[in-house]
Amino acid sequence: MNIMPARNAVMALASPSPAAPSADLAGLRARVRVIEGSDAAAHGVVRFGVRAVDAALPWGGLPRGALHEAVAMDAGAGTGFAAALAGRLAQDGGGAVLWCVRAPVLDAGGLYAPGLGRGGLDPGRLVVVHARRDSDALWAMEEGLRCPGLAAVVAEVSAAALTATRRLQLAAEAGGVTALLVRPRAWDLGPSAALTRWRVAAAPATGDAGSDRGGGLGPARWDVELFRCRGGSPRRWAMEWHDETGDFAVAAAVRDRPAVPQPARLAG
Amino acid sequence: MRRVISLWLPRFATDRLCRSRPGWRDSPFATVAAAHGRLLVAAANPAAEDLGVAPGLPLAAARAVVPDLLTVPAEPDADAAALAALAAWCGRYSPWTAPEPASLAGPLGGGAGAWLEATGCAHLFGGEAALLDDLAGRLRRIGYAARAAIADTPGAAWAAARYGADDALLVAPGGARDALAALPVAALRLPPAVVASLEGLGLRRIGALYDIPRAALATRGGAAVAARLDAALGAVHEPISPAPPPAIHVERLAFAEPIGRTEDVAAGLDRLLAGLCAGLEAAQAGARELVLWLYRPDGGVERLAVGTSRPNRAPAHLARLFAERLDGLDLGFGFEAMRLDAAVAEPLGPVQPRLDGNGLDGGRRGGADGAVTEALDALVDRLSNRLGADRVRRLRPRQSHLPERAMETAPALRAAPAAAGAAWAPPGAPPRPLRLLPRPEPIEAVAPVPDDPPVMFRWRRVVHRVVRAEGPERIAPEWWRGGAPDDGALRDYYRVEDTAGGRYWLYRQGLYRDDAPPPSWFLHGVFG
Repeated sequence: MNIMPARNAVMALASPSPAAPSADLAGLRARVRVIEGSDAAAHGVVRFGVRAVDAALPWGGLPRGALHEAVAMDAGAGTGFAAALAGRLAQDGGGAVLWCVRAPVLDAGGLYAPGLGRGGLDPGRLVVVHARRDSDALWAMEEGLRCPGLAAVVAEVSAAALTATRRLQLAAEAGGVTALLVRPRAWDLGPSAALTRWRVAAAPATGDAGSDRGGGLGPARWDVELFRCRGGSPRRWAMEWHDETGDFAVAAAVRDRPAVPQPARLAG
Repeated sequence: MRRVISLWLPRFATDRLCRSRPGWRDSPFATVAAAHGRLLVAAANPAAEDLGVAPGLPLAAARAVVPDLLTVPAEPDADAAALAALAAWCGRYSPWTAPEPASLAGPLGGGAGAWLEATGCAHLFGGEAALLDDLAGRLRRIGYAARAAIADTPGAAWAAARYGADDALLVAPGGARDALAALPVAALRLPPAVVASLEGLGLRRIGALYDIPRAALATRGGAAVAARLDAALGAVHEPISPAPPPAIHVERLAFAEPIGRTEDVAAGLDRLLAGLCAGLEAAQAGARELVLWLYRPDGGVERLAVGTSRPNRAPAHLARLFAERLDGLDLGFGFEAMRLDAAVAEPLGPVQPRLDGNGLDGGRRGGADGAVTEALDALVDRLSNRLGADRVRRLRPRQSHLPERAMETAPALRAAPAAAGAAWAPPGAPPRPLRLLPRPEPIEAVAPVPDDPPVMFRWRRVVHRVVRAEGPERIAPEWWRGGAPDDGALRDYYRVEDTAGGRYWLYRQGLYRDDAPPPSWFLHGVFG
């Protein structure tokens, strides 16, 4: 990495040049990102379409060609989030989606195609792999990441070691295919090389709760927490998925994560 | 010029048993089968035959002659399986082999035979005489007494193997007529009754049959005599139906010493693949299924098969598919020969490689799209061959109202993806869940009668209180299919959301009635 230009840029910034300070600052930030290695947007980004979420991510969206992890506190919420993301990746870039299913991980049955369409993912693009073991699922994921014909790979695993996630991240960067690991809720989430780590849980819908049994259910609602992000700070949103339009929406204002980790969250 | 080898193993049943009981080779022993309510000797080894025990003798008489005769019940099924395995082992000489069906009992009790279609194989082994010596010698080393003869027709080869002299096992092309003339009539594979009647007429040698008009032969001996004679002389073609069916593209490699390391097997496979893919390219074809046969020195055969979703003739890709299988191979004492068949081959036109040498340029579809499809096919091949073809699936819609039947999965290796605009759910239907349980799980639900969604339900020992619900959606069983799994009861589906926000797809099976027990509730799926 070229340190010299950065130093020059810093010295240039120290002597005030009113000519174009924001351009220098942006250039400096870009160099710092490259040096840090967090310039992972080499393959582009996929936007959530919600300004609050996209602004919170340092790349302006979820970077492609990288590994992301989602902890599914509920089976339905985790599947919905993964399907919506995978559908967006497939739609923007074209290509198929590989999904490695492991029955014991989410324990809610297999993927159901008639429901996936409303969930944002076209079932015709899907290739489903039934893996018996975590190692098979991770191997299939790595093979998929090296295949240029895929837009995204989703794998359900019960646990992934740090070295495995690092391999997947390198394979994703090399191939340009986005990887999404879906894990069940766990007491000890170890370290991971994923660029972003999310926690998705089902959230009750607001509105006339309890009174209207016959009324419609409305859009699906999730409590989405970005609890680790390389180059960004943790955030939490109450996100909705509107299946008619295929859009995300944020139903509540952005709340910063409190500094002290709450024991309630660890309890799931 | 057709050349057929007939292999005769005169004491197959007893030799097979002696391979696992080496101590019995020198003691008299026989296999015993029940026939007509009595126990008869089915096969006897040379030691017993020397003492006078012949096949067909009642067991009591045999024991009277040889009191310490060892007996084993005859196992025709095991014999047939062993013969099929041996015919597969003979595949190292020719890809077209078949065990001889054991329809001729009689004086050759306990024997078995096999056919090898050896047209064009002899030069690989240094000539026909060398081929016969090699075959018989290897079988003797394995433990079977064997005689092999080669001739133009199966009939002539069969006769020479069983009745020919030791120096007359190689019948020269066109020499069947002369070779058969001196052999007895029984060498024509005729039933014993017909043989007896022909011998009663004084016709003891096949040569005597040559000049008799066919009509007279038919009246005396039946149509079989003329048919067998014509087949043996080559006037009528007698096919050998091979098991398994032979492949057109075959490559073979034999080693002076058995190889016992996986790397050596992989190197041999690379050489075979190079030759096979060159042959496929010349024939403008691609392989869909490849079978690798590995022959052991003790007569065993290993078979590894890989399949691809599209015709393929890239050696690197095919070698990678085999690599997974080679890891789990039992090497044993090593392999002395390998054979690679393209068991299923389909036409594949010429494909243009890219200028920079990386991959192919578009393939059948042209443009970057083709390269992407090709990469996806290669991925499906690798996943299917490692994890199993039925574990890599594509989803396809099916026309059905029943939710569990509305989607079918097909192995990705054989199925094309669903069409782009396919309708997955009935139009206008309420939303369907993201995940469907393979079997609806019974739950305990509390619901107001008769039609309201449940207020509370218990699933997997957790109580869920329902906050809001949608429904009911009535799905009736498909009466035209008959035999509905849930006794034809209809289902009322509800989408419910509980206090925690989880959404579930429940159904009640049947209706509340005064005279019937309350209907059961089930949970079928989970929403996002």
